Amino acid sequence: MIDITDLQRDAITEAINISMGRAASTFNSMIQEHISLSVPKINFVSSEAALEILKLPHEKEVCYIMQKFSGTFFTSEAMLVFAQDESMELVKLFLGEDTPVEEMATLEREAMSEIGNIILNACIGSLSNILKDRIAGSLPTFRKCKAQTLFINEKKNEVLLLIFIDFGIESKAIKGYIVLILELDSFIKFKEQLLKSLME
Amino acid sequence: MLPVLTFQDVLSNIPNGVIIVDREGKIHLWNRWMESYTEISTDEAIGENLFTLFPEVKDGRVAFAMQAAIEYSQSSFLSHTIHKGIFPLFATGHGDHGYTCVDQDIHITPAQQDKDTYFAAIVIEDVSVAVTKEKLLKERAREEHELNQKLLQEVKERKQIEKKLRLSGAVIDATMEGVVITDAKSKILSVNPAFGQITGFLPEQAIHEKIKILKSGKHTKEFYKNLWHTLVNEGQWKGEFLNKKPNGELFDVEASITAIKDSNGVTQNYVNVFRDITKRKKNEKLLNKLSKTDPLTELANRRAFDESFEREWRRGWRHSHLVGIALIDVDYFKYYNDFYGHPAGDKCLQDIAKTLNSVIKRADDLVARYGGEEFVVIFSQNDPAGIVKLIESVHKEIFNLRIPHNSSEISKFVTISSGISWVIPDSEHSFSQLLEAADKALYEAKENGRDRIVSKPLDVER
Repeated sequence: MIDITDLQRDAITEAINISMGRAASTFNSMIQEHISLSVPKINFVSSEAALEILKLPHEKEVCYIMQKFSGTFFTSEAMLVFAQDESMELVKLFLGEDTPVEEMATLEREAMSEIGNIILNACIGSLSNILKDRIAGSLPTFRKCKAQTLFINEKKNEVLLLIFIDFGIESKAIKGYIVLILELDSFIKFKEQLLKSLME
Repeated sequence: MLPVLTFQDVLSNIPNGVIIVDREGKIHLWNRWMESYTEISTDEAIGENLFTLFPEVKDGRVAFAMQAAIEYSQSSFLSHTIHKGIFPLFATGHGDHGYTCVDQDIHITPAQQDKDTYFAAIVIEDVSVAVTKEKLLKERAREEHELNQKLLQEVKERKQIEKKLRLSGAVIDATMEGVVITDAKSKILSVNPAFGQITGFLPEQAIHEKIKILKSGKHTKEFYKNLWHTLVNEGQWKGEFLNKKPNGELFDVEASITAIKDSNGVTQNYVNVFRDITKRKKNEKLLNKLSKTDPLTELANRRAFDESFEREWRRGWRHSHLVGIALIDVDYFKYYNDFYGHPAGDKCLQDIAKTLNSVIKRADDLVARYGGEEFVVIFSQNDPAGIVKLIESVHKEIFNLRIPHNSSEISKFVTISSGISWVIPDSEHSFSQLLEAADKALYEAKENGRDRIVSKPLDVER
């Protein structure tokens, strides 16, 4: 039921990949370092299976930036999830290596909100392009928790679109995950519209 | 009745900057906050292009986010942590900030007028107060952190010192040398096990007592005065002590006393490290005695005589008192040896030595074996008549021993001959002259038939 065809998957992956390229160029205009962003794969899964597939240990400290999105066909909550230590690596990149560690923690919320906002907007923008729909997005919020509580509030009938994102920064490799949470009827409408727009 | 507030009224009064722009950047709304932070009035701003007023935002994140809001209905967030003063805003009303560009967070959200008309709402928040507070807090946190690091360092150092002390404590406990630590007033604070073994004092008998419980009373006041003088001036004293055990037994120690000073140079403690040298002292005394004693007769040997004679000579010179020498020779002793054998000869010499010792008892006088069958006596502070009288007694006592002497040409018993001389030492004479004079007198006694005394002052000899 939560499957999509390979063609659909490829179309989405490609579209998001292009949008990540745009997000990367935004980052590159903001900082000295060169960042590349790529999407190796996407998955549609149930909320129970999500953690397993993300390969995040239950006790792992994570942080995420969340935005609400609503279009004509569906509404969604989108989360960009990072392991805590990788998030700090990103903050360091944006604020400079010499930022004191204790300062970094207080600046993390703000910096990550903007970084996440850019990525989530790019991602939803690309979906909006393939679905040929205007999808309005809210402002970002930033939270921290343990991996095991990430999807604790999700309902059984929700479908999660997992988008794996690799940050390529010099020698470092940072991984982030976009999780698009779609209620079942939103997912069905999403699929229908995807099918329709791909056939046009 | 509630006042009727328009949308404009609300926007005017909120504590954030609000700008609404269209696709081209034309300003449609400019609130009171924006007026006060830019000194551009609403009348001036409305209808003006945002990029004309702020050329610096034309090609950056603001323009991009505006487009995302209008084209895609996306909301964007620009953080002050990443962007420094995007809009040139100055908090004129906030004296504290002066003319520094205020720290600002910017939210850009879509605003829709009707189905096809989209605007971007730019909401600017002045976060400088929060940033200043944050900086202060961070400063404080950093100070606290530094203080903590310092404390941690101190604790670490103290632990290392404690560890070292524990280690040195173990060494002190294990060492064979007695260690006693006192305060600046010589009150004993701690002792090690070896202290007890050497001094015979139990720790509980010693601790809180003054170090003088060990005093033997055998050292002069001068000795202690010198010790303290050295200790105070040089911080350390090394030397030997004679101490006393609780049972009264005396013992010798070789000690090193060190003053422990605090960072101000004030002595806080004394550390006294000592080793028992009683045995060594005894051995030294024994060796000393052996080196100066004739093994056969147990009288002083020739070396001891030489030392003693020289000393007495100088003493006599200094105090102008008489020094006398008596050389005593056993008559026909060679024959005695030949006749009775060497063991008997030795016995004879031992008997004569004993007699000499029994007659000449004054501490100032010294009896020595001069060599072979010859003896010598040094007389100090005596008069010639007294000396002659003593030697006469020796002659009489030896004769009274009635040691048979069959090979003697003058008597059935062992007899002796003596030569005596004396002088008050001065620059005119030397002690070897006195010895020669005594030797000549002895020769004369022998020449004149033996078993007699010849006594002459040194000057008459001349």
